Amino acid sequence: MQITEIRLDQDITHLALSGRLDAAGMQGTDIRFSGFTAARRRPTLVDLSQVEFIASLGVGMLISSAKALQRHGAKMVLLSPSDAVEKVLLTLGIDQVIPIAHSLDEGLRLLAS
Amino acid sequence: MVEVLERSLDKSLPALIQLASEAQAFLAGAGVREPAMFKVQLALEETVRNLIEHSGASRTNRFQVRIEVGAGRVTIVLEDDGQPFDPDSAPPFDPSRPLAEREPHGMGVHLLRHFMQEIHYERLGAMNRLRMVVASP
Repeated sequence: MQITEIRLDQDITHLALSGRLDAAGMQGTDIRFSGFTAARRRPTLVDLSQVEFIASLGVGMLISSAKALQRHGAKMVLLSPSDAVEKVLLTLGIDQVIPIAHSLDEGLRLLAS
Repeated sequence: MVEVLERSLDKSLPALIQLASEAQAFLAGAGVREPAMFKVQLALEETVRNLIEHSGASRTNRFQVRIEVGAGRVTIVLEDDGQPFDPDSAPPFDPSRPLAEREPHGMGVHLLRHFMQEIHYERLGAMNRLRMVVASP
């Protein structure tokens, strides 16, 4: 899993993830992800469009950071997962607790709501 | 024609990473396409990680995996001599819980139930045998 910083400022944390969100792909990068998200305590947009595979380990990483953000009054929104990745997220009801947007405009709107 | 990948590996994270890589190459070579490719990788990740984290002490600390591609399906058979674990015995997952009540674990069996066409568990003496089937038209 690679983490790309799109925008980090007082208003937002906007990251893009790529690669595999599983045991092979993560290998410690979940701590780095937490540093970008939970530790910054800003509304967080996570672009998943370049994530090719996700397992429960990757979903757990998203849940942990979203929970930590929620405790500090900030929201996380997931952006543009592939069909396969979105099926995993929907199967676990993640869309019920971390909104999923399919465009940047929608993602920013959901973060502000 | 049936194509087979068989491995005997340590219950360890490096072994899971090796298996994931070898399985992906094997499945691609055997002509397995999406979404079956994704489902088989999901099955291997969830079940082997569960073995590594929860199967407890065993005599060998190893597992055997067989992946068979043919007749419009991919069959995965996983065997180990750890503690018995029948996926059917896992409590149902509630996808309607609020975020504050979610945990970052406990989701793997629910994914298997949803994405596998068949799941069959047997305890054979001191061995666990888990057989999963993914449709691969």
